Amino acid sequence: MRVADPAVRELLWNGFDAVVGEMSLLLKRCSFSPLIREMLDFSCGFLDARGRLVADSHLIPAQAGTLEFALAGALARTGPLAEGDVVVTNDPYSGATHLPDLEVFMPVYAGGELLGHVATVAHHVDIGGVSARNRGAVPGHREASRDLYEEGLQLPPVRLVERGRRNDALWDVVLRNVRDPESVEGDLMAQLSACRRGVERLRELAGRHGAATLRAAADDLIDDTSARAAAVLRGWPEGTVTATGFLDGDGLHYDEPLRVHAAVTVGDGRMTVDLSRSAAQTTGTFNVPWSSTYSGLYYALRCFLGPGIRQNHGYMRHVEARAPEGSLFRPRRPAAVMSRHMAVQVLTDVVFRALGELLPDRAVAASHVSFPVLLMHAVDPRDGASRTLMDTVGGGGGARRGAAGDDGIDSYTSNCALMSAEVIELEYPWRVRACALVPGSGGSGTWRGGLAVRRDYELLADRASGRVAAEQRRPEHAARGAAGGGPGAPASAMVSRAGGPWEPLPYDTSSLSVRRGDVVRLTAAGGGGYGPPTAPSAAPSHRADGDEAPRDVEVGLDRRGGLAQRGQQRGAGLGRGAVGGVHGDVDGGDGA
Amino acid sequence: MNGAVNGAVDGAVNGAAAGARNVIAVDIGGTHTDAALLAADGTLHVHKVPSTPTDPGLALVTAVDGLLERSGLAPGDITAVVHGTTVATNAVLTGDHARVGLLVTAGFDDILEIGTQQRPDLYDPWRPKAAALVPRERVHGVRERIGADGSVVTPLVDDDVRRAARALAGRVDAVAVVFLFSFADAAHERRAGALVREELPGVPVTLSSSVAAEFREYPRAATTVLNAALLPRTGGYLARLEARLRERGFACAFQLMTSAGGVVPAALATSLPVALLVSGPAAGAIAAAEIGRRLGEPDVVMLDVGGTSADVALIEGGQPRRRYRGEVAGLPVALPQIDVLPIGAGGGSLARVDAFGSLTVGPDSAGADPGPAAYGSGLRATVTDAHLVRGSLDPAGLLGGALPLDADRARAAIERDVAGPLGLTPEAAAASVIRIADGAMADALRAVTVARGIDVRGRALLAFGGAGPLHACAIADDLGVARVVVPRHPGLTSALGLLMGDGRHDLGRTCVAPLRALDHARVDALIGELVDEATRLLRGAGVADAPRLSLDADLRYAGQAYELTIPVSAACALRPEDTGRLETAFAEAHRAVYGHAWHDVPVELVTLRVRAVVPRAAVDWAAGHRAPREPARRYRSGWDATGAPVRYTVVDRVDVEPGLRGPAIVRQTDTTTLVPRGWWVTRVDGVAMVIERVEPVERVEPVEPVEREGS
Repeated sequence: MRVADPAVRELLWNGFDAVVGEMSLLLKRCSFSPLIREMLDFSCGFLDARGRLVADSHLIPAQAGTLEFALAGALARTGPLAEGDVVVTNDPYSGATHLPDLEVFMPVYAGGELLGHVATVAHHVDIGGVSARNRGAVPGHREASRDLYEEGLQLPPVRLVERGRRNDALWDVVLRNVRDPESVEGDLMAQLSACRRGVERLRELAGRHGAATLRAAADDLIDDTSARAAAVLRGWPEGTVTATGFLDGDGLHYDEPLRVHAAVTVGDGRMTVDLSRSAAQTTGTFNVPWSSTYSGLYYALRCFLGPGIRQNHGYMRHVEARAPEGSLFRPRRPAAVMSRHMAVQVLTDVVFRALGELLPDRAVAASHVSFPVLLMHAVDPRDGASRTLMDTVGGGGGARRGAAGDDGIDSYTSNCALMSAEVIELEYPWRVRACALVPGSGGSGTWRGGLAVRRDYELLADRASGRVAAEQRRPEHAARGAAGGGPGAPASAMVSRAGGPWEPLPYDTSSLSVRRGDVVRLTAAGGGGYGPPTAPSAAPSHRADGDEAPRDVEVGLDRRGGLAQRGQQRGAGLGRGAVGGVHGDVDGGDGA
Repeated sequence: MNGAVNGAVDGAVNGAAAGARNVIAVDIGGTHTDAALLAADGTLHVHKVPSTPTDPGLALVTAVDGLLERSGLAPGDITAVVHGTTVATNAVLTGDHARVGLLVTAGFDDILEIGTQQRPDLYDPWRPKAAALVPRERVHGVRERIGADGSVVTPLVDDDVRRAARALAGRVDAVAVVFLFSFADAAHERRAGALVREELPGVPVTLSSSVAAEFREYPRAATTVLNAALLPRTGGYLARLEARLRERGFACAFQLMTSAGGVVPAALATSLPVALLVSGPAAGAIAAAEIGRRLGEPDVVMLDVGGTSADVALIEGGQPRRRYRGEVAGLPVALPQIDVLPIGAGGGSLARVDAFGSLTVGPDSAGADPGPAAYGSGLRATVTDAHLVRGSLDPAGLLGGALPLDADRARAAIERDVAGPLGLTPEAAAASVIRIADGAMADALRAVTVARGIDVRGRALLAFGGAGPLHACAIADDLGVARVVVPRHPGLTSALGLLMGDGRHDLGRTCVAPLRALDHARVDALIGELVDEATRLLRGAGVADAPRLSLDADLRYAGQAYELTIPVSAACALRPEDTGRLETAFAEAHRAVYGHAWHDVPVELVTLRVRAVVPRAAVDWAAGHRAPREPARRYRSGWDATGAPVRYTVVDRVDVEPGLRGPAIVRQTDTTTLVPRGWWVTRVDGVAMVIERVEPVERVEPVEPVEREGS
């Protein structure tokens, strides 16, 4: 340890967390986009002078994991940042993730010495590009492909503020290229204020303890975390395990599933993940920038490392990804990446499954990765303003030994909060008619899978157009069970027009158009069950909802223990995660 | 410990208020019941007795009897008894709730289970979400719907309510009703409440529009359900206590302190127990504000450190800072409360070194049982043990010797748990443990101050609780604060706060609209309703009949989700001509808190808040100070914050005179104050002891870092 005094070390480590926490609170409270303020789709961090993550805000792992890559990409382009500089980027091909996530970095100097960089990344409400409203306006038209240029304004790393002076030309360009400049400006300003606050606080910390001590404590923190991670990894059996999962399509085309294959090798205190047998780069929107591929792997490893691991570079350095250029997880410019989140979630799930094979005691059933989204424009009759509602609902968590899966959660590397129905109705011309758990949507098992959420949106404006999407709609891609548990129910998207019956929406609903009184229904997928289903239970089903006929599983809703399944899950225990050992192959039979 | 440990004291007798009032305060805690009597002439009597957890009223009566005896007053002379209680808090912490039934807008039956949709630990897929407070079989959807503008979309189906009530009959102790947009129009909730009362006579019913008429359905539902869960137990408890007092011949008002630091009639507390959840810390903050005022320090930072946890709060302009949302045991509570931040750092916080050589302190605690190793039964090293090893606590014991300390056990624990693994001397290890505890408290203080744009330098740090004054000067140095205040009775501060609280109740109502396009007729009507309601609820809370009313507004830029509370007027009106002033005030507040503001973004009104205050009579109190005796100083060897040897002067509080210089230790029954080198005592009287920095802070230099070739 470089800082010999254990008290000073601990004070600084806690201090780093406090600084990042304060940045997050500030950003959340003064931002405009509901994605940031309601769903908390943002992250903050502190990285050292060499660009290694020292602390992050524990909000969205999918974003936090990209900070090191984006900062490295930025510094490679701009050179070292001077005091008072602020750099912004959203370029997926120089370390950022997808275009709406603007990553902002500011160096921290104390007495002329570089202490490190503070960072914020936030999902903006719009970043330009081809509008969902116009896309596919011709009925029956199907897009052949999409690329990055259609996804919005690309910002290679560029100074947003130069030595304390705002780069007005850049702001003008950005704000002229987005559909909601007020929100984007407000949120970018919030990111800037959060960075400034972080810089102030770190300077104060340096003032209290000395700049050299602060830097040394950051080094110690990373080394300490690394030593802990290595110790856990060395305790694991060595070898290679493989697992496969599938996406229903590539974001545009759903004729064929998209394969996600991971060969996870543990040895010598490291985890190496070979993705070369995953799908090639696609012409759809699910391509995953390299930094986001790493985010998924970081998240999975951190979960399995267990408690006592702090969120910083120290454990990340034990991860290595391998994928050929031009593949799904390492695409080439200008492949479209807008919905890369879907593939990252499946990747994380697949690595969870592989690690569960390696460490059977820690195996968990799969959580949903359906991420249903409604993104629709409408003119609010209350004031004539055009408003875009973007909302998503959670699904079922995977069951584990001893506990049913969580009901209604966002999963893995995502952590979006549920937007309040009252907020939606106060701000958008929509009424949330229902927001409920879907009975029976959790996979059967000794411990049942978590239940999915479904939400019904009634349009209160004359018309609305936009996009509705949900992955994991094919039963064969539903959240797998573990240790003999059954899979969760698949997701769905439906519409009821003028009080008519529910019509399932096709995958490609970029051009969905609805009228006043129509109701759109999003249903997420359920979580997988754990352990073989037990004997019928006396627990009563809490209600019969009529319109839900979830497969052939009947699950009594015992919310606490989950020991309430009735009936047999067709195909339960057939292959899903049941084959293979440490060196075996645990590819599920699904869709292969 | 037996009987009273703290005798009556003579107070300064001056400034008696008009309208003679003799008020008794009783603060019932887990181990002690503290009582105080503020007589109309300004005399303050205090009395501390052991609590009687199985029948808390017993300790209350003993304490009150003691006060009457000392003061020579009779029950008939007492004008009010104010009570601070943890009964609601304990029920939440232990999960000891009543069985609640929930009626909710159809389609939202799973509102509690879905919650915010966030996992309890992002990186722990094995940790389940907490169970909802109401199991799903006791939740019933009811057909009805109010729109965002308050209009009726779907009329309430009475039969749904009756059917639900019948289904709950015999299975619940209380019922909560939560309908969407009930803050915009509460008619459906009220009707449903009436129907439930008809069907289930005797079962208490709580409506979300009465508990927290503010937007966002989940926090409102969680708050309402928690209120329902607390209703039966709290109601019974308060009724029994009141009966006990009546038996003793008290005919006076029986009142409680709320989380917002207001004194309210027991009847209001009985129907709104969720408002009592942070009553204890709130009383501490009220006392801190009062002590600050008496010292001419309207802006102070409060630090209350007990055995297992600490509370920090900010006092500004003589008033504790308040907030409108909080969290108790992981549940959102959408009610006004004093902005107290609890942290897991106290005398009992455990110190440990893990396999990788990291020293951590807390948040887990040895609590009162087994307690620190020095208490004689625990084995593990705590902050208290570290103080004993460092020489900053008197081995003769706490509570005037009533609680002896075993210095050898403390040393053995520090050696085994900290010094050994780190290869340090026990003294250096103890110093490290204390510095980490100091750092955790300083970080919490920063979170309630600098994190909100408030500069604490130049303010005083007011420290109390059994362990607060031990840490205060070190924390002050960390924060750049140069003045520390220790009240006369640091262990009785909450009881003092109960005496100092105004009658107060806050009511809010969400009404989202652009500030420049307000429907002023509607706003006026809404304010009128809030005023009537607050006045009615407060009746009997104080000396005056009519409360003083004021109006605040939660404002935000259109498009934001979080608001800043801006004072509107003491006249309780919001007029069109106020718009410009409010916009400016909001922009200034936004700049102060977030670092920037906007000129061209419209400002929105979100929630109107009426505050009704019945001021208590001003009394120029002072508690038990007499001239110091012959200085009876002793000296003790110990170690300072860095682990360097030092000789402490040891003085009893009653013997302290201004001019006492650190390093010194001031002993009194309920606390120990550490005055480090560089600090000296500048004032001692019946209000407080003030300690100030006389020499500039010498930075505690850590061992020089060794720059190695990094990995």
